[in-house]
Amino acid sequence: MATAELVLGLLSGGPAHGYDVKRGHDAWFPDSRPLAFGQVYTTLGRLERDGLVEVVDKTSGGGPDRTVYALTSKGRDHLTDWLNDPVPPAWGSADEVLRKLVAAVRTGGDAAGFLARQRANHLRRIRELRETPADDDPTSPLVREYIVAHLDADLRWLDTALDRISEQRGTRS
Amino acid sequence: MTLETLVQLARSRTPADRSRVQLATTALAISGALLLGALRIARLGKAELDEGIYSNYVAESGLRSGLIAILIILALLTAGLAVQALRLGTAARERRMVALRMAGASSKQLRQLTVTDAAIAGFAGGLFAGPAYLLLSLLFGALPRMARILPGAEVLDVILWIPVVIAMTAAGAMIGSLLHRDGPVPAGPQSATPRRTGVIVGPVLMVLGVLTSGHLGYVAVTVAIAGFALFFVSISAVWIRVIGRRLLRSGDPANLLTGVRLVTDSRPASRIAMLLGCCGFLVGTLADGIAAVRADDTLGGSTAFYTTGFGLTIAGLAVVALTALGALIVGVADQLVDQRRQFASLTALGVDLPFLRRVIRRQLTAVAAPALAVGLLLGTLIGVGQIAGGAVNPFDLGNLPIAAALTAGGWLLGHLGGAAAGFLLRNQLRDALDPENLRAA
Amino acid sequence: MSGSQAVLELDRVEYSYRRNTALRGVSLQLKPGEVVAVTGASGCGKSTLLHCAAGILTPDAGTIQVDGQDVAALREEERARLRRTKVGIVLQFGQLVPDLPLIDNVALPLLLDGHERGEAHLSAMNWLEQVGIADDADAVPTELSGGQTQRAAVARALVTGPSVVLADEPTGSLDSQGGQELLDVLLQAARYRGAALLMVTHDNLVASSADREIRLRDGLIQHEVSL
Repeated sequence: MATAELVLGLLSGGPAHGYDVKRGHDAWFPDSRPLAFGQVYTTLGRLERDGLVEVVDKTSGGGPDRTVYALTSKGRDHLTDWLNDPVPPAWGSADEVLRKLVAAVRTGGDAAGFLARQRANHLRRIRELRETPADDDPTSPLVREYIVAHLDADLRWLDTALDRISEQRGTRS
Repeated sequence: MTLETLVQLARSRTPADRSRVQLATTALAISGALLLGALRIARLGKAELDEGIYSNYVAESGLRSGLIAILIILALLTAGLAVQALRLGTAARERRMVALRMAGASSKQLRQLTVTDAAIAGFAGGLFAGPAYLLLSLLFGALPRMARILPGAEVLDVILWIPVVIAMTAAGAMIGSLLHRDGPVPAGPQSATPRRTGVIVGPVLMVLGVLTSGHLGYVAVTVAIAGFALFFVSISAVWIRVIGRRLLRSGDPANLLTGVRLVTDSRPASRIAMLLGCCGFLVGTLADGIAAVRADDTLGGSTAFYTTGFGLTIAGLAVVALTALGALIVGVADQLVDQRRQFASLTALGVDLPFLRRVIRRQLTAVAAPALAVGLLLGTLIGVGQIAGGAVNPFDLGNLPIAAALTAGGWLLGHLGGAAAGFLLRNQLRDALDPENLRAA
Repeated sequence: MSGSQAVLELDRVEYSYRRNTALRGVSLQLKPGEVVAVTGASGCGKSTLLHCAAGILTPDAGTIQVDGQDVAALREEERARLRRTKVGIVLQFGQLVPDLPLIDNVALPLLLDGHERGEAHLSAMNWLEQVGIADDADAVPTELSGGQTQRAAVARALVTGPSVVLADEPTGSLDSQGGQELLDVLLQAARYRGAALLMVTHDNLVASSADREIRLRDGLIQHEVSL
């Protein structure tokens, strides 16, 4: 799961506290399950331990604890690396692709570049699968065809996503 | 490209293309036979010949040149049919050309192929011209003396045959070269410029012909007829589109479809209209002449001489007109093959055979009937006689009933032709409507 | 620039149809034996690019070199010769001469180039075998399935030993099974001959077999990635 990197992405716009991070996440993925508070705080704690985020403000008394977190430069680098990295094409990887794309668009990253690399990755995977013959048993070719068909579907979505991103860029500039 | 390749690639093997070449070959063979006849008569020399053996037209040296001229004109007219025949199947041939271009053929090679194709048809036509002449001379030999206008063939005529074969091959090559279009024809609307030019230049030529007729005789007549043809082809293109547009506004689906077919491609229709119009014009002229001869008592007992001549020429022109109608029918059949996919999809919309026959009949009669009628009317009223300064008085009121009768006859013949076409094409129509065509690319 | 070793080089090629601009300056290079897929939405200019590369369309601006020869500098006759000897073309369908038997269709570029019939037929037969339709040598295209005619098109594209093969949606008229088979035949044939292959396609399976993907959008290269 890439919740950690998503949290980094959510913080890339400026310092925020845990509640803002959760709300931000839920706004990015309105159709997904909301992020649990507990998960936000454990993630932030782990990120702080790894030096990817730091606490910049801490107010207490008169209300709930308000700890404000910010990205460290190490955290920013980590986020950039993650966004540049295509996802290994595998069954169920689309979630991750979508997560990265949304984060890249929202944080002003190179979404088109990411999509291009992702396309290449998917195409490469299809070629690998096509070049190595499936095992000679009753189900292997079925599984193989299933995977290729899903990769093909992903690619078609990547295609439209690329066009949409380019259009958005075109209308904004 | 080797010669073998050239000949092999020039000759298309589709059935439609084969019938196209056969038609052109036949037309060129008849054209060659007529040319051979002209040469045969020219070989008789300048002396007067025995009127007991030869027809007066051949025997009298003064008339011989006229007969030769008529044979050459008929040869040119039939060669015109070869042009029409070779034009058929444009869409299919263009697809073939594109395919050849894709295989790396240069435009020069494509031109070579078109020219070779037509030249082969010309060569074959030239070869058939000999036997065709033999047959025609035997046929005419069996007629009464006055009608024996083609002298029987002799061994020496074989020598005349050689230049005819060469001439026909050259004619074929020339037709091919004229018809060859490089690259796909732009799909845009047909330019109006050539039509406008024809509408202006045509009458100018006609007037020029009439004015100079006193000095130039046959040349002037030819100029006038050429002007008439040009004017007719240009005006008929305009007018076919007008009819097409009017039909397009009609509520009757059959008229609507006819209109679409006329408007989308009016060129073949206007060419045929021209040919039919000119045939009508000449037949009208001759009918006019016959009437004049019959009315003129001073000609005395030699009416057989005149009527035979007129009769033969009318027969010749009728053959040309029928062949032109035939070419129009073949052209429509060709369109049917080409557009069979569209027709097949009409089947899906509930269009049946009688309906389509009605459309085809209307398409043909809309072109043929008025063209024949107008040609005949003008021919009878104006006539070559006036242009050449002949014996007939202009605007003889006695001619009016004849003109009216001929016009009505022409109109009727055009309609008969349309009906005949619908009947003759019924199998092609059924094939075109076959839903199986939807599968073919 | 490594232009000297590229078998196909397009430099800032522009092309406009009457109303719309199809290419706004596209540059690309193909090295010997390389397989490149050009992708993009309909109307992005990918087919125009291929037709320019094939010498069927003449670009408004920019240069095209095949085997180091500037196509625009050639006379029409020489350009046709270049097209039939150095460039092989496979289209979606319809590039075979409908009334010619397959053997003659495949031999056509050689015949047009002035080769003797027997010799041309021998090469054509070899290629028909290579693409697996030697049995249909005497059939005419209308008697065959889409897959078979496309195989013949592949054979014809390669019969003269071109350095570049250009394919425009080669599998476009086939179902997925037939498309895969044809793609394999095409790749194998190009590899066997050592020809560079430029494929215009919207089919991801076709694109996946390339060494490089070039994606066009609105007549410009949107991105280029190696696979």
